[in-house]
Amino acid sequence: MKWIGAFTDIHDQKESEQKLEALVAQRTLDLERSNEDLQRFAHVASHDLKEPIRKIKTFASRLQDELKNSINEKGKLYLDKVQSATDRMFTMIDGVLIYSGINASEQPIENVDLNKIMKDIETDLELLIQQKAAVIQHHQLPIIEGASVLLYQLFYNLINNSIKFSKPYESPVITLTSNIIEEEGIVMARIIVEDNGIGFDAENAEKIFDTFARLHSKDKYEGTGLGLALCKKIIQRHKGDIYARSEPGKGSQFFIFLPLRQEQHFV
Amino acid sequence: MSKKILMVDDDADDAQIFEEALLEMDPAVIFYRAWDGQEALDSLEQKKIEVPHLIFLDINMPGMNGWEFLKLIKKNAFFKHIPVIVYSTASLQREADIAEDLGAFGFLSKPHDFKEVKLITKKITEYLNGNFPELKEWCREWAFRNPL
Repeated sequence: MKWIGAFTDIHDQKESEQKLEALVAQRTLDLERSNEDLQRFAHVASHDLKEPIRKIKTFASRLQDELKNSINEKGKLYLDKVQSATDRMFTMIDGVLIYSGINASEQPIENVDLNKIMKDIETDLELLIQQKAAVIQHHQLPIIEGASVLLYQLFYNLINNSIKFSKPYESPVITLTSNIIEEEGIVMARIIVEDNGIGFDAENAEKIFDTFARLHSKDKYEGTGLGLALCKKIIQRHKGDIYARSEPGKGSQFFIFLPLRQEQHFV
Repeated sequence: MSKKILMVDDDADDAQIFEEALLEMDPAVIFYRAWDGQEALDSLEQKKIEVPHLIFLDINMPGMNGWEFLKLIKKNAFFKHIPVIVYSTASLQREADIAEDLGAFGFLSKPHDFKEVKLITKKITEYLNGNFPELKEWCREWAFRNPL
């Protein structure tokens, strides 16, 4: 018997492949670790930062109280500026705390009725909704598996944004619609949150999900620049996806994809 | 008889602000202060101070922290009747829940504004003088002002 063929020694190739895989695994581990460290740092730092800021705020208000009869207009203005700057700092630190906390703590999976989530949000935002005469429309949203605390936060941020970035002389109208789709064998809820607000440039559609991204000056619109970053994080943890579409002056649409069932027990 | 309040807090500024606001509301109140849980416990057990009508308790303290102090005081036959209000920078519902589980009377997150400190001390003095029995419910509402 004879055979014809070529014989190649692939031992070296195999070996270098294995080495590469090990290296990638190690790097990934290192990266995960440094990510965790960073999150822990953000959490601790922001927690500790709150302390001195609380003091600045308390003593500024103490000073205001102490001087209430003798302070002149200029002095009052300066103290007000101290107050509003510390207020802003507080909100940002709280944002970082929530952001890092949401990354850090695992949440159990449960059945979440998005209709109930929306009801809760409408109750919590009641005052703002009244002030802006906002209309929120939704019906028959799905029940999905997920962490209710996180999903609440997700829709709260989106609705809050839609109200915040509404047009000055037009009442905000926010509509949530949903349908069930299948993508790569996974059954997903597709939820569209649509508003009639000021919108944004299409080229910023991805940027808005970055941490500390803001398209407007903080004097015009208050906020931490973390709201949508948080939304994206929450959706990623649920193995879903989000993207946005908009045009300046023509409202925005947020497309949210969330699996109906979670394979994981925690997110 | 003068009302007595014990504040257990390692933060000198917080204690000072609180004392000033308290005495502004009711100059007759006697204000005791301890730096940590251990000092507070020693003062009570060794009768260095009279039994207070109310304890304001910080959580993060070097030495004996607030939780440890709260557990011990609630096991002590002589002192467990004293209402303890946990007074902490933390504004998490989880902290408020722990405080309740350990037998605290209430949980108040430390305010950022002197006006709010004054409001707290006003409610406290009213409660101690028998004019504000709803203090417990009021504390609960306060804790819920910061839902996260």
